[in-house]
Amino acid sequence: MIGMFRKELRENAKWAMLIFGIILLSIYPLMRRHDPLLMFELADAPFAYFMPIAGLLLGLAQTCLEVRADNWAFVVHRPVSRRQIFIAKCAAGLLLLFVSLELPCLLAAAWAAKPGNLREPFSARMILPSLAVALNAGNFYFAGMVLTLRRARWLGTRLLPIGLAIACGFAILLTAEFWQTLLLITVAQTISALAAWGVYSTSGESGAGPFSRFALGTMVWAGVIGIGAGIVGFMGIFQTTTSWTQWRMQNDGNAVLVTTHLRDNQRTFSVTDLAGNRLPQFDGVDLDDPAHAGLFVKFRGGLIDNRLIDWPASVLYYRGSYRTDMPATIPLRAIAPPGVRVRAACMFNAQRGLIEMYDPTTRLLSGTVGPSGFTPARATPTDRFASELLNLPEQHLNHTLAFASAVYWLELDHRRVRQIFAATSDDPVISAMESVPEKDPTVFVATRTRLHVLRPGSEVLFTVPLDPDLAHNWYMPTVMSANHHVLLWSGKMAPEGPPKPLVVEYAADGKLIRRLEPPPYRATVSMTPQRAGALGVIYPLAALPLYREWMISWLFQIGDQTWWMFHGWLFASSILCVAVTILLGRRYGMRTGKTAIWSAINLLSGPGGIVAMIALHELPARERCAACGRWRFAGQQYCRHCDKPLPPPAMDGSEIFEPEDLALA
Amino acid sequence: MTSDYAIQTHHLTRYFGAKRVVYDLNLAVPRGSIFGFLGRNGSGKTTSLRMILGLLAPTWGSSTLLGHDSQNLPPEVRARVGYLAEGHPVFGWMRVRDAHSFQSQFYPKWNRNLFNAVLEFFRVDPNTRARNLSRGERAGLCLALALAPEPDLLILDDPAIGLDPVARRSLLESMVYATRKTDRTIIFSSHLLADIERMADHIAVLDYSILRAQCSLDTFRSCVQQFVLTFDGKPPELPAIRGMIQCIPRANSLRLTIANVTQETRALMQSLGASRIDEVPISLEDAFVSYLGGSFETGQLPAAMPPEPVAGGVA
Repeated sequence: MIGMFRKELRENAKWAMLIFGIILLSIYPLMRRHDPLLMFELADAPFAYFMPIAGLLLGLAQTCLEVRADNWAFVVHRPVSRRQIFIAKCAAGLLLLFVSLELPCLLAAAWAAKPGNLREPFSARMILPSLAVALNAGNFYFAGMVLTLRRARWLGTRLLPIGLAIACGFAILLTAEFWQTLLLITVAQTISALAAWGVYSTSGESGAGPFSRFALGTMVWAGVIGIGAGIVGFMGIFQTTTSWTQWRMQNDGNAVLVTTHLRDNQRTFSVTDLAGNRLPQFDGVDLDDPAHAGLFVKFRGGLIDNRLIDWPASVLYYRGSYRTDMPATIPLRAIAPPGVRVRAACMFNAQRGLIEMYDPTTRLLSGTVGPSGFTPARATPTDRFASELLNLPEQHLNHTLAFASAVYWLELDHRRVRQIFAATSDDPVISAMESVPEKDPTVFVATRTRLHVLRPGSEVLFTVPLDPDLAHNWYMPTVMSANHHVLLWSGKMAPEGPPKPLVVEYAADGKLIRRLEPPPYRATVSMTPQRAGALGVIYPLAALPLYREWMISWLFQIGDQTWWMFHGWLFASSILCVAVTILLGRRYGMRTGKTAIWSAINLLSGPGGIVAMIALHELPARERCAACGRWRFAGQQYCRHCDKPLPPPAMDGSEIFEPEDLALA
Repeated sequence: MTSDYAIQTHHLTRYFGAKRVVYDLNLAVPRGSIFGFLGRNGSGKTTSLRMILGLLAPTWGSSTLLGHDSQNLPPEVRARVGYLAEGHPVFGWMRVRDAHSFQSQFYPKWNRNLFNAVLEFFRVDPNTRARNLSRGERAGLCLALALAPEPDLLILDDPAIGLDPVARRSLLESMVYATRKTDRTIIFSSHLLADIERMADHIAVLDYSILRAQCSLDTFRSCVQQFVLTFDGKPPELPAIRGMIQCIPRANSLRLTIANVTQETRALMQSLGASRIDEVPISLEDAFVSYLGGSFETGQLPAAMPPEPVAGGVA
């Protein structure tokens, strides 16, 4: 086994060196421009594309010679089990792959960790994003083996097994923690490795046992689902007509409904009041025109408890994943009054609980800022921010630095922060932000149950209760320029059914002017019935209960109007799959029990299951049974109608056997 | 009986989709024999050998190799079986000496002297990369790799393919050299009749996936006979003659090649009204050609050939 391992290492080292060289060359420009996000860009394009391709090509290169049965026989016919040969092969291949992919990233990390190269603090977790992409390349490596070795009728079905690796690549984009990514990759890689083993050990057939066959079927199924999703997405290209509805707030505080119609890339708008009456003053107004930007109130950001944001929105929209620089390093942008330049790159280092200021020229740490002020780089800071920084996703917009116990105002042009709010222990701060205009902002501090409106100088304007509180709702506050009233736009944290907005308006002294809870409105469907139907055809029935209702709506934009279309086709497709399975089972000569199992699988897995079934079975030839005259399967020794064996070849007297009874053995 | 045979197959059958490649193969290779496996291209020789070696699963049927089930050969049995695959595969990037050290570490028994002797016989430079070897040299390297573990059974799949006469002769001589160990069994497939005649003491003939003959070479030679029937006029319509494998009509004669000639056969020939019946000597090569290609003289498939099944394939 060691010999085979060494041989594989030696044989494929050239490919690994090529991969290593290409990645190193691609990293070099990022290092030259001292890109602060260097380590995170290693998990982004082009690396996120190249690493899987490298895995695929290495798997292909390692097995392409063994496509020929003679070469394969030469490799496996030796006094070592086939399993050991396969393990040695994979161990060498994966070692080469991971070293060639991750070593350049580790070199880049070592470079980034050296002071003066990047103007940001380095932490070991920055290696994780590129490590995840490199590990996922292992899936593509096994897929490459399967693609190369597996016999298939045509290129399309040969390529299908790559679907699992691609699906896994997308799925890890949705994971929040590295261990989740690792778990996902481990599961996918186990399946891929089993399928590769099955194909390798049988020299291209569909598997050596139930596990490897199941694994290969899963890979093919994932490929079909991927193609189906691609078709649904592709159909969207031809969807030139769509419309959607949003709430917007006029400058005078009136809420209106704006429906945007998109037809042949032309956008038109229709604006109605809450009762649905057309507002003629908006007729013919192009709301995209910057000249009309002042018609509606602008909201700059939200007061939100980002720890309560549900997956996957937390990952996709709020950077709640290990693949981003947050929460370890939070870049600070709004650090001084408008127009004042600060010659420093400022980061909040969550591990140290300090603001770090880097010289933009030397990229060296010039000092740190804590609650009590600036400390030069070489000195030990006197104090630190005690708790976790809040409102991370919108920190770059705000001068406020929010912690559970206090809110600070950034004045880094003076190398200091100023505390503007202190919370009580029973009502901690959840979020803080400021509103436009930037030169005269108003600060909003939300605790769990109250909203505090204050000036940057810490003068409290008013305090009002938040009902519902931040555990249930998010709030977008603004100050209306016309009357300096505070307007709050609120919505549910978890989207459940149609949007239910809430509008609250306070006077400048905190007096409640109005509280408006408009009736829920029905969002206009953006997916056409045809696309919804196509999605229903390909969507596996088994996955239906796995999704919460809003998730389907959110991911696939299926509205109430096409809901029946999606579900109708989903159930019709599932039933059709069962019928097709029964017919195929007969054609393949399967026993009733096996056909029943496949029917159940295909009911739940949809058309992907049918393709997997076809891929896993060789269509048997048929011939007339010499005994009963009915069609029998040539690949089965006994006729399933009369149970008679296939007759031996007829003799014409020219046969020569010695001893003679050999022919009858 | 098992101990008398190095290889035994029982109803070994293999389909590739709709294509029947080997059908109901019952083969027994005596221990210590040099066994020639003969057949035309595509007759199923390589597929049979792969099933026997456990490299390919049969559609049904079974086989044993040195007394062990082919599909579950333990490594220690594989160590006793040398195999030279068709096309002489080697790792092209390896030097000959690297190929030696790579291969030798897998085998508990490795005769370095034998390996070197075969290389020397083929004039192979150990420092040459395998991809730079000529076909003959590559065949020599493969044979050396197969012989060096001193296997009890040597399976050679068309070893002389693509070789010039000199290289072929060297290969055969090496095989003769290898059989000095008397209990070693060699099975080799070929469609080169001269090689079979020179080397084999037993043969099996596979024709269109069906085993048509399995016997000693002498038996085969004696069983296939050729007759010239001369008539005064035009030869009559030929009745069905059991065992007839070829009939070549002339203006006033018929040349018949018949296997397993019996008294009934002779009586039938007599009854045709021929003025003369001469038994003419037939070379082994002619006998083989008649046996394997004779049916094509009339454009008919052999009678033993069942009709091909319909449809099939993989997705």
